[in-house]
Amino acid sequence: MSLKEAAERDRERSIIARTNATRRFFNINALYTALLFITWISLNSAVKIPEQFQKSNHTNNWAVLVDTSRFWFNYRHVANVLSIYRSVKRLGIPDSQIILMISDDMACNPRNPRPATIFNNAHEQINVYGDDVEVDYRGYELMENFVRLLTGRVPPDTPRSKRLLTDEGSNILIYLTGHGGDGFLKFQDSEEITSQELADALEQMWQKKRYNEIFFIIDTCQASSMYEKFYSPNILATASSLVGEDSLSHHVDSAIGVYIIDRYTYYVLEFLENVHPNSDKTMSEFLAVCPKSACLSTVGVRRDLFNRDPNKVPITDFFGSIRPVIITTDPINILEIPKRKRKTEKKTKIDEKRAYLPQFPMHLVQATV
Amino acid sequence: MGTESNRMWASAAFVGVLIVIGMPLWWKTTEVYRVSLPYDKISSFNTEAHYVTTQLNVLANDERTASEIIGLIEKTFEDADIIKLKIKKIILSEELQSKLETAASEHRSVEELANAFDLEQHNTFYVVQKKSLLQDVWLANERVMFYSDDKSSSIVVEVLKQWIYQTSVLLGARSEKADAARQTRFPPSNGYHVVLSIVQPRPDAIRVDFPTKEAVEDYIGTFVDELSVLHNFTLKSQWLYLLDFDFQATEVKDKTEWGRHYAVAQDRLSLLLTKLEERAATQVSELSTINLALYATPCEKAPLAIYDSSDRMISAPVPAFMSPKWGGVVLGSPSAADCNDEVPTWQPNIRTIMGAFISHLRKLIGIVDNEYIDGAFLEPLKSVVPRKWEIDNLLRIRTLEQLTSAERTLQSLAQLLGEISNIVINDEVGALINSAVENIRVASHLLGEGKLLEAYETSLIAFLAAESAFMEPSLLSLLYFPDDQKYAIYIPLFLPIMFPVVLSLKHLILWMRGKPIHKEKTE
Amino acid sequence: MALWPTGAVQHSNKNISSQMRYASLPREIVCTENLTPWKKLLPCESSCGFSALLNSRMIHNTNYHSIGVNFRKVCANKDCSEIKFEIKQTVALVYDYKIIGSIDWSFKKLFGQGLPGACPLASSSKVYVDTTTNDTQPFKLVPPPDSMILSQRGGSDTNIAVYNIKANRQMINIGAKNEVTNKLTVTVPPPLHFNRYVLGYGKEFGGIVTELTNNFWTPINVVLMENAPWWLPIQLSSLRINGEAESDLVISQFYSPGRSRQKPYHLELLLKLPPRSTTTITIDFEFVFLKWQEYPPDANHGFYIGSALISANLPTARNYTSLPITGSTFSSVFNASKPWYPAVLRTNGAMVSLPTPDFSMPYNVICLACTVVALAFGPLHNICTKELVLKPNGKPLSFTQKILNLFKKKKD
Repeated sequence: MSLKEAAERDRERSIIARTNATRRFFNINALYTALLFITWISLNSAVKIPEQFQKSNHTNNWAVLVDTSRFWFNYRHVANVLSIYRSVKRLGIPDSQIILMISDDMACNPRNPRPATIFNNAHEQINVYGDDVEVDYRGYELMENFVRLLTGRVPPDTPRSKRLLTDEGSNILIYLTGHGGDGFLKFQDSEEITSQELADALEQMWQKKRYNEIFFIIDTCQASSMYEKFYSPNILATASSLVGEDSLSHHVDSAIGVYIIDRYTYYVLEFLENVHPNSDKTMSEFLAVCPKSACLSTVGVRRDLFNRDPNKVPITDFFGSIRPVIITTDPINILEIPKRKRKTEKKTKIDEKRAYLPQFPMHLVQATV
Repeated sequence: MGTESNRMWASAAFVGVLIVIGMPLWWKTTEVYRVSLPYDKISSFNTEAHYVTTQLNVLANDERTASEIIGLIEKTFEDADIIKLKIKKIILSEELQSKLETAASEHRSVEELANAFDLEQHNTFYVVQKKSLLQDVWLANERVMFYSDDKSSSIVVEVLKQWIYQTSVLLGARSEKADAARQTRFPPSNGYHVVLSIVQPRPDAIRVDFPTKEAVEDYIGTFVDELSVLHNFTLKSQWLYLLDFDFQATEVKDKTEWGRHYAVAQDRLSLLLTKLEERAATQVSELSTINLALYATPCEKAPLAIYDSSDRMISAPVPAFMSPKWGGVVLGSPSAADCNDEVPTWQPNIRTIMGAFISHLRKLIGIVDNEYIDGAFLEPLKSVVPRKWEIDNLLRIRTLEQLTSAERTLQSLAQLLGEISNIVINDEVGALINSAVENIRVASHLLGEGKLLEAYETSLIAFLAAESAFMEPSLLSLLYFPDDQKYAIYIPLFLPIMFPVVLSLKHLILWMRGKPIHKEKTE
Repeated sequence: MALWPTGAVQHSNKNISSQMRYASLPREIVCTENLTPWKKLLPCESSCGFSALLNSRMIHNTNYHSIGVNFRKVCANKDCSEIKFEIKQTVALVYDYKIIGSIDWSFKKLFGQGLPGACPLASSSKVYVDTTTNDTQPFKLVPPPDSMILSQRGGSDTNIAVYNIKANRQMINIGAKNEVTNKLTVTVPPPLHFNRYVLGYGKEFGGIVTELTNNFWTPINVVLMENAPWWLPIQLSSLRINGEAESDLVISQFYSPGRSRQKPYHLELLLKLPPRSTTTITIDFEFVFLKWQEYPPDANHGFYIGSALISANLPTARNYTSLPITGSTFSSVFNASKPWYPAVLRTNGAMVSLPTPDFSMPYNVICLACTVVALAFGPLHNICTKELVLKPNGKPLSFTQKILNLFKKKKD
């Protein structure tokens, strides 16, 4: 072998060695980085980062649940809205902060073979009508009162339980169900509310500082057309179908004889039954609750007006109820016992004697006899 | 030709009737009735420009101290645009000085001062020098603050800023975003209901002897009587039986007479409020209701103690909590001796329980508690009556809040009415808006002059008028014909009519000018 | 005449009948949502006491159910110089043997559960069972009652079994077991019963008929009150008692005509029903046209007319369980004989079908009117403003004329 060849061989060997070394080096590096990566991932998922949820700044929760259709064959819409009512009550929102509007009576309807009950499942396990339901608006009262309720322009003699007494820290859940079309929602077969009117009503609420955030759910045909015109901030909206699609019902209960629940609400309910007041499920899980295979219509979401990431918003922000509680650490130590001056009642008037009156005008009978 | 002029005149008649008379008539009759509103005045509202003027009297023993104190006060409050102080310098006479120095206690000094000056006037405050003061600054219930000498001037200024005038809370009342104080207190109104509920979950197990009517009348009645310049209060009380709530309290052994106490987690407390609201039936009145509830714990679960989120027991004379804009709850427990009786009877200590309720009421009405300032002594409250300068502060906060809220309401209402052009504005709404605008102007002026009581009343009228105008039931756009529907009805009617008429205009004009026309239509 | 205050009123109040306010909602449906606030008025709510029995699935599965709240002032002392308030809440349920499945009844069968003890706040909790039919249709009460009371009221005897319920949270299930199960029962009709229905066909006139049947051997005095809404104008001139316009059965009459969209029509008749007879009272009404906005969303369903009110002074107390006016609890019924026994009864409601318009008419009218105007105006304008001129043949055709000629039929 010549020197050149030996040098060549050496060079080759060194090159191979070097490449081997670099290869090993890279291998080790890769292994090292892979190890680091795995540790980082496992750390992230194992440790629940306290800032997983974006901080919300609401102080109370309200819910407005509306069923807009009338007549026995629309039983499923009443079952829809009562199912949501039940879930929302179970998760903590008190009745005084839920406005429930039902257009027609299904539970005590003469056509209902199971009186005083409304079921949302053919197995008839849960009576969503329940024993302590409080319906705020029923029957004909729904006609124009939905927009009045949202904007606060109710007649002056409306009782407090029928008013939406929200303030700037309220998170409101709005759920609408019934029959709808492209750009409108039908109220009781005789009136309509257009998407523009709804958008204007929500804007007026924003102007008057009547909400902090709104979660808007609508389960009708062509539902997403109702939220397209929204322009107020802090609204997250979802609909059971897009424009041009129909929302379908789920199944028939042959004992009752009508469709008893809609697809979208059925899957929403399945999801909500697994949510408890301390749940850490997020809003984005809720928004993905009904894929096209289950719902047969595409669920629409509008998130551009909502400034938080739905991935980081807990579901209890809208479905649960928060009530800030401040512990009292400084009660007043009352040393002087107060005594209020009583208004002396004038006892100068003699109390008049009272008596019971006869319950039948026999004096008229005696007079003529 | 004769027939041509006939035809032209016929065409002109069509044009005259339809376009000249018909169109304006249609426009006028389908016009929406709108009362004219002072849009320019409303858009010129500046919510940041409101300020309060208040009278501050500085009394000192000599000229030098007075000037130094006044100088420091002026410098500190120079850039506070929300409150303007009208400072009056008074040098104490020898006689008054000696009376103040030789008084047995600070309270006697206050009485001496009351003889010389009028301490009852709203929106005034006296800063008085008393050399023999132990602390740097001394403050109690009257509108008087004592300070020892000019070395305590910095503390005087701090006390004025944070305790007396509470500039941060005033700024919060004026600001658009609610601060913590505004989130806690009830929204402005001309009246509130106060309901005291005694909750007895086990009436058969333990009897509760609480003179509810007298407690409400005496304690809460005396408190709200002092606030009669601000709001009207209606006092009510009720008993709620069999309202069972599971605190999920865990037993903790300790060294008290019971040998144990039950720990209640703080998170559980908000659920109690939900349960109370179901039964409390306070939704029946128009005005907001302040709920005060006393929970009588049965013997098996007594006594209760609240544990905070980090699992430490909160020590307080009586476990109590409150919820902003709702009310307060006191968790009362009977003593071991009460429970060992034949017929267990609990006689609650009215003073401690009402003490907790009064502290809740103070916060809910808007009295913000004061942080500790080193060197300043604030005499703790001994009676239910709020301090005089606290009432002044409430007046200031509420006036600012009502003024700015009314302005914002009117601005958004004007914007709304301007945007949606088919809402009818009837006379009542117009009158309310005009009244609100006028009262805002007057209230702002009075506030700037320092006439606090009149400013408060005027601002309350303005606030209520603005709210009524915004919430007027007739302002609903659904009730009226929206513009696009109006056109949708009239266009199919008028367009086919207008088409030939407008086309014939061209010939009409040419004929008027004298040019002959021949329009042919072949068959 | 028909309704009088049930509470203690001041002597000096002479205008008591002008202070009466009467309202009825014939269309309202009664369901659990009405029961919930009713239960909230009770101090024990529904945790114990009788309201715990009110299981809405069971009580709405009945032939007749009604809940009531009565509020009045009662005398607090003997000479009635002081008053206190009394609130009385009532539930009336009529079960059908076919629904519960057998002629034996028990709390479990009727309400789904037993009674979980009395409310601890009640000063007295009692269950009364009427056992008068034990002679003809023997049955056994389980558990045996605490005491038996014989009440003689107005000539009729009633045997009542009394149970004292204690607040000891013990479940008690009261029931009856019939000894003979295949006997047919004959129901004796009450002394006074009635029927009401709507007459007429078409959409111009109609009538309301109320039939009052007096089964008793003496005449019974009744006041019949009809409160017809403003959209159902009842004509007093058409009032006929047993077919006659003037009848001596009518002792006194009060009629207040209504005003359209403001006041309802109010008719009260004081009648003396002859013994063992049926009296038919007929009154005609005419249909009115309502404005388009006044129709409810389901206008073709019909409009409900509220029930008529019959206030009767019964001479007998058989099967009569109303409390005397001075009494507050059921025990005041025992041996409470009086010359007359007043009762306020309500007839069934009725439904009329008002002439409803076709609600799609506004759209139709717009389309029709626009089409007519468009079609008619064009030629009219042309006739007035254009002149037909003969065109000489042979002139060169313009381009548009050539295209139009392509579409025209060739005239041969």
